[in-house]
Amino acid sequence: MKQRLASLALALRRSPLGALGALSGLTMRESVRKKVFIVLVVFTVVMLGATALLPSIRPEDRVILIETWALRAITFFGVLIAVFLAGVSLPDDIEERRVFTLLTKPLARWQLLAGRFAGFASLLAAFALAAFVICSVFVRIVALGGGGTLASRTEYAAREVRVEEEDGLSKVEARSTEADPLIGIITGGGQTIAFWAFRGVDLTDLPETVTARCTLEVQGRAMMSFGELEVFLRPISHDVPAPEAAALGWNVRFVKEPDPNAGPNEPLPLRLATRKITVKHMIPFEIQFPRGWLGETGGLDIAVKRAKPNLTVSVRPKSVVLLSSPHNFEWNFAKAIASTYLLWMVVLALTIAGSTVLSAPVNLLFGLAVFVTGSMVGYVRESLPTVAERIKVAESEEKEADHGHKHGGGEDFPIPVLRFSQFVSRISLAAIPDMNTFDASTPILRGVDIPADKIYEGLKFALAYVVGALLAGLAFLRMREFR
Amino acid sequence: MSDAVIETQNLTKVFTNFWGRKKHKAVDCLNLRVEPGEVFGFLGPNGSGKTTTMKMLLGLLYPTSGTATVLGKDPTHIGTKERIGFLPEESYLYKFLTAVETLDFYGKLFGMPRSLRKARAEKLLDQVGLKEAKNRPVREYSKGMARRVGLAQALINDPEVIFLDEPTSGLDPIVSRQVKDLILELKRQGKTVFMSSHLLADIEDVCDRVGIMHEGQLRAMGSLKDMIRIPDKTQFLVHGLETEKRLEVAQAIEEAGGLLEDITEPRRSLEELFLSIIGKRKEEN
Repeated sequence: MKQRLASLALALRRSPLGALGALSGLTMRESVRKKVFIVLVVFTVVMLGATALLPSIRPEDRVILIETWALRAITFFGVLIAVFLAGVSLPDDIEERRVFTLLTKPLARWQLLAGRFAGFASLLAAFALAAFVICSVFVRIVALGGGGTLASRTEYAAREVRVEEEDGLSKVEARSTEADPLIGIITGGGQTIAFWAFRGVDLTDLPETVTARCTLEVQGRAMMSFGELEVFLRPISHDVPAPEAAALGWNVRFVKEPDPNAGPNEPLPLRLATRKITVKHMIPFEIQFPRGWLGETGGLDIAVKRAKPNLTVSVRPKSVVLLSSPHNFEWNFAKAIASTYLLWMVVLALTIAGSTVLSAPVNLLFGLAVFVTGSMVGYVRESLPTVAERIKVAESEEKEADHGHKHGGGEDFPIPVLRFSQFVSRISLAAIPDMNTFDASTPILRGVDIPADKIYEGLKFALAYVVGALLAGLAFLRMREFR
Repeated sequence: MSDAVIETQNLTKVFTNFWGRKKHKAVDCLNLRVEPGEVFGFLGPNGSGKTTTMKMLLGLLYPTSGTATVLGKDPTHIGTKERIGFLPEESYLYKFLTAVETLDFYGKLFGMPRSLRKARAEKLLDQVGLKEAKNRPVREYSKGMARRVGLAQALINDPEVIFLDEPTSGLDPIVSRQVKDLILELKRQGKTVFMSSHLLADIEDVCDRVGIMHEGQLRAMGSLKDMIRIPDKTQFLVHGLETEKRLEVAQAIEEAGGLLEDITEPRRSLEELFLSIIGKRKEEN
């Protein structure tokens, strides 16, 4: 057995992996000798310590704030390693001519590139592990001191938004828009409501009393009044026990009074559980209700209605979600760190690839630009439908003008400018990695589970970028001569 | 004729600018052949194309035209690199590593097992006189010490061919002598050494054959002894001849049809004088 292991070790050493291991080890040793690793760990501890000074709205939010703060700090430090250390390692080897010695050893150029990548990936993995342990312990200590509960929960997002009359029968001057299917614009008659429908919620993971956490973007013409909304729950189940609901602050009523002459087989008219809550723009509020209201099929509508009927209000759910039973905090934080690690890998691969052709200072700028623009590319994505809409409107106005109608004049920019902007945006979206793919801080801040799908999507995205970037880097490195 | 260890045919290198326009022809149609077991000196002033040639032989630069082979293969071939060693013009090392760690790292690149790496590193550091300082980081080394680590790393794999670019530049005479002795030792072991230098005395001390480069072209190549020999002159080195007898010897030479140009006392080279003084002092200590 021992002999087999020894021969396996020898085979590994003599394989291309041996050289990769040597270069990875060198990178790790360099970061330890230059005290990079220990400095980063100390910084992480200091950053966590600084959270003691953070003001929080409520003491129970402190843990969530610490988690978010820690995650963002760790992300930033990791990006610093990926850009400032990895981005200069190869240019340094080239400029200080160590590459002469390296490439005259049996080390292929791809091994030099992959070895450097593997070295920094290992360093970042060690940092991620250390940061995870430090943060988890710190958060546990804060939670013990009464800084909040350690829980993350699964979200069930609303599937659709509908706007209709309160009796659920007629649709009036209200709509959801094509560009934003979850927006509800309430206009017209006083009884109009906007509601978000949940269907097929898995009941097994929900506690007896379900929590729905809602964050709404509310915009209305009368700015001072837009926060006054009445919140409704419209259970699918007709069996809504009124005392149980009353205990949770709900008033259960029929939309229409039941017909005393109705036969026993006729369904009961729709019932609503209502509660007045002052909704503030983008401030999350939570409501609780019994799990039974979701019925056997897991369906529920959460609705809002204007306090002042004559106002036009647009209500967009930033999130309207049902929360499952609390889950393990560490597992969720580990997923957040894993997602962050994938982000580092993308930045690392791009800066390592850049370093095959760029000088050290230029490559630093390149690495930072990748991270910063990648973090902002989400805004570009969000703006694309608006630009498309503006082009559509401008074109229809132009057509009308061609037919002798009055020129609308609603669009400030000429169509070619808008089209060019659209083209540039699309190119940017294709070329720049969207760092928001890996953003785990938003779910952490909201105390909800990071879906496994998000990690999987991030992994696919990161793999594509890492492989693409390293192949491009290798192509440059193979062409490169060392004078 | 045996297979050449190093061979080039019409090897040419033209450097171009960013736009691909011709900037400078560094090596021009170079035809070179180095046989196994010889120490070949590649001479030439700065900018004559020596280092460019060496870099093409090491796969660091690609030829514009022509071919180069080392040990019968393309210089970029990994199999070739397993069998060669290279000491660059300056020892470009990782300064955070110690000498032992440096050799261990380069040994790993050859896939050498740990025990062999350790043994080779110990032996080489002893050979280059760094046994005492082997655990100090390279950043604390003097230039001469760093150069010696560089030489040790070039030999870590016990190579068949060793490329040395200006091996003695910047070294004091003692270290320089040690390096030259090491080159001669390598030759005794049957290794092939290809060294470039513009220090003519060094080349003269160790090389069997030389090639002289100028403006990218090989101007002369051959056996060192043959090249520096003055064919129609004869030199006698005589021990214990009295001054008055010199005239008789001179007359005898002229009677034999020779033309005596000069009678002088032979001189030691300054290097020999320096080494003898330092050597004596060391013995006293």
